[in-house]
Amino acid sequence: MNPNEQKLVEQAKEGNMAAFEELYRLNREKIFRLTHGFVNNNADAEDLLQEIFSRAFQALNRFKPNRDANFSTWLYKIGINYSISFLRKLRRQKRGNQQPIKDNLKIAAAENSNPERLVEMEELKITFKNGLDTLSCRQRTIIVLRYYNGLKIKEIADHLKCSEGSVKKQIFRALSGLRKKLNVFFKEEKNHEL
Amino acid sequence: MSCKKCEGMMELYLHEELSKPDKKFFEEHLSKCNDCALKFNKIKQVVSKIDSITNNLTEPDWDKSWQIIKRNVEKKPGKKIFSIYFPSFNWRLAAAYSIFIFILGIAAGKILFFSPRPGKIETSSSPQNIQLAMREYIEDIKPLIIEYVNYQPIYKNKEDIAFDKELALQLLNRNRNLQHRMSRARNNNLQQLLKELEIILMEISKLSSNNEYENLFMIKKLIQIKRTIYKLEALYLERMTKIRTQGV
Repeated sequence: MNPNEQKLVEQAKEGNMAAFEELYRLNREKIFRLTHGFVNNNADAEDLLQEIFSRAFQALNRFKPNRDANFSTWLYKIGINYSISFLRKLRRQKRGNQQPIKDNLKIAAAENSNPERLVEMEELKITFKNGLDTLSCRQRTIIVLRYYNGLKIKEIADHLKCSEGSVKKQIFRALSGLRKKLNVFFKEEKNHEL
Repeated sequence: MSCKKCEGMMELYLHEELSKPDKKFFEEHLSKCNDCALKFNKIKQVVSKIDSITNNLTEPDWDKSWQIIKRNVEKKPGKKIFSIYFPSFNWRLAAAYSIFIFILGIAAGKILFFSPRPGKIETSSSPQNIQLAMREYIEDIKPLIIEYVNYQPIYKNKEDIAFDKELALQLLNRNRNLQHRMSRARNNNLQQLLKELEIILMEISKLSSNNEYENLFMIKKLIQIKRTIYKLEALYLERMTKIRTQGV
């Protein structure tokens, strides 16, 4: 672990909020991208980010530098677990995010100078989100870590405690699944090309 | 085999994460295999779409988020106290403890509430058990009664009487036990017989070690008057052991 990061963790464990704020500053973007990958909207992603950092602070005593390699790895672990449980809760409540996104879409289209492109982008986001919803938790986590956080295959394998081959296989399957969901956009592209 | 290997490489190739030999192998395979080329094309399209989505994230208000985190942290001291008292709290360990306590509880419950208490089987008032106990009792008491009904002064000495007394006391206990168990069975003949046997056994148990001829003759007479041998025989032939039970 980075000696500076280790020092900050030790200070934060003693209740030093400035040290924890520094840890937040160093890791906030990674965690935000992770949560956004899971929930696909800014409001929920922000809520999750806040909750994950709050929980991390409460559980700092359980962070073991020898076991958890580095602080961000440990944060990722909390983030993944909390995001997955949040998604499950969301599914149970049957509170889809489709409606607010559609509302956003109208607002954005009204405000933007190129509304057609923006609408297309928003539609792509909705379809992509629906596609992600059809993936298994593991595949979804892998896609989020790979595309939102830009982690290497080895890093993902370390996070999920599985082999690199398994991660590659899961990525291929997840992308094939998403390709089917996003099929409409590719047909349109072909038509444009013609 | 090479197609499977190729599938795993497609995404890595797009992100330029393949080693030189792997890249060469991949490109060569793709130039030969139409299926893989088609699959690669599809993967390439979807990856470009995902990249366009993930590269356009709007950043949140970091400071506002920090203020909320700070407030949350200061609001929840409860969890900190929890972590002080249970520094190594572990859900797996807690689950294992719960299962252990549950199994222990079942075992304790079984011992406390379902184990047969000493003497419980003997005092069972089921008709079959009483019938069996009665038969055994008659088998045991019959030789003693026959011995006393055939009593002659020369037959008995001090040791014999002491032995008879001890035996009579044991049979007396069993007699009372049986009477207690019979209290709910409506069989007056059996209950009457048990009472008569109780009197005889009490008389035998009261004998002193000195050869009390008078008392011994009295017991003999008592057995004869009560026709105890006849009743025992009748029972032995199972004419009276049929216990009519009601509410047992």
